[in-house]
Amino acid sequence: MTDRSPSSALPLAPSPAAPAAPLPPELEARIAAFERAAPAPDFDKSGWFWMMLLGVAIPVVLLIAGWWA
Amino acid sequence: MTRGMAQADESAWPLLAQERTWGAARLTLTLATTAAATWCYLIGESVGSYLGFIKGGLALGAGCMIGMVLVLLAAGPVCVRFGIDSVASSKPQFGSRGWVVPAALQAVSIIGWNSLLIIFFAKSAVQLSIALGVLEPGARSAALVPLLTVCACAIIFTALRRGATGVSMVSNILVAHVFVGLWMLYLLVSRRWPELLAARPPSASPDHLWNYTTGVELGIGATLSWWPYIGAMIRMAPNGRTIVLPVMLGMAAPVPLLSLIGLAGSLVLKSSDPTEWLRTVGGPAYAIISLTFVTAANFGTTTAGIYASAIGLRNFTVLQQRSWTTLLLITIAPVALVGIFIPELFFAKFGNFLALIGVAFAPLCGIQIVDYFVLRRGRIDIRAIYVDHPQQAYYYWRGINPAALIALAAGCVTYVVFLNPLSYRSTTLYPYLTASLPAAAAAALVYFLGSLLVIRAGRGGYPA
Repeated sequence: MTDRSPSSALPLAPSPAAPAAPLPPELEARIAAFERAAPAPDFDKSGWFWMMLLGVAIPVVLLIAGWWA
Repeated sequence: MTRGMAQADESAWPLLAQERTWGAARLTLTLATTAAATWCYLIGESVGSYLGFIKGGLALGAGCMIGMVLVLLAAGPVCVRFGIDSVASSKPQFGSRGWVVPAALQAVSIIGWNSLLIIFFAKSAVQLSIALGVLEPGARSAALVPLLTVCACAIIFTALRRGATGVSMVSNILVAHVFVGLWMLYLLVSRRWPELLAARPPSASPDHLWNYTTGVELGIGATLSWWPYIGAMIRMAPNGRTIVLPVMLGMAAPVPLLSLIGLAGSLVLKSSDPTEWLRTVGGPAYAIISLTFVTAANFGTTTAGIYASAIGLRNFTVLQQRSWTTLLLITIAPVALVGIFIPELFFAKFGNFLALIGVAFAPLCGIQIVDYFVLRRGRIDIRAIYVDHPQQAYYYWRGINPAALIALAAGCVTYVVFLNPLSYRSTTLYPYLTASLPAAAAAALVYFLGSLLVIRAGRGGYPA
């Protein structure tokens, strides 16, 4: 017979009232460190410049050169 | 390296600033070694079916750079800001449970690619042994492929016991193969230049624009499949400024450059595999060098792939507390099993399978880009990435964001409508737009519109 008791069922979605399960202490410390610090930037101006040059401008030049080659 | 740092780079947890020690040079080496593998020949051969050497090289180069910038814009910002992998970076869009969709795509893509490369690795090693006179040609030598597959998996497992350091260590040793590859290209181009210019692509369409766009599309598609790998590598760098040039020059540029080997070989010698044509061009000594190159190239890429896949699996709660050794075994086992039991069948069916998987990465990039830059304007809740609870921002509905799933499906359908990756049947707009770019744009648009409803429902943690 198949056991259909709650203990054998798949975990249900947590209810809004129930507290979140505690995170591993190491992970909690890492997240807290990010939350305390100022938001880290993603790309700076030079990053955007190189991205636009290598990912947009040069491909356009290559496409034009390749089409007329 | 401290135990804490070692633990961090073997987990999917965010890496702190002091743990992200890879500078631009180290990242470039690792990315270049990861990018340069046998798939470059296959990509080059595919382009060589439709375009000549110069046109094909330029179309492929443009496509690779465009695809790479999409991947960088999609996964790059969140991965590098918080030191997390590509799968974790998809949680703000797909939800605290819906991220299993990108995780499944990552697992299938990386395991598939790695199986292919590891079988290539074993076959190349057998051929190298035959060329060196260690083995006799014949069925008995071919039977060594499964054994060598297991040996390769064991070496990769041993290297990766050291986490990301193992990937970097392997890259430092194997990066020389990139230059060997460029030397092979020089050899073919310098000796067969007139034939190369005169060669006609065998499957070219009468529509020149269609051929040209297909060259670009193959380049975009090739680099879009870096999405699963990129996060695990760039999370080791300290900031966004450090990653742009290494990614664009170390990961995107080697692919079209080394694909030229396959492109030139397929056009002139009707074979994209340098282990075959280098023997024709330069004799047994060159064949040994090329076989060494193939062996090293696939080994480096597979190491990085297994690492990225293992980190991706860490996002599953049941695997978070497992040892790194267990996780590596879970990741390597499917690769080893494919290499041992069904290597030939896998080779025969792999192209179709991969074409279907590749369709999903363009929409995934479109979704991530519009979510981060337009909807969230760069605001990410790092706690919500790791806590699966209704009170957290990325819980949406039962942990799933329907807008992301619908957008992903819309993007995939758009891709197939523009270009069927199996039959290569295309719509009239395809020659002007490619298939990946409309798929990314369609997914981005559907996600944006769907997110307006999500925002109205007060879900997703979007800024006011």
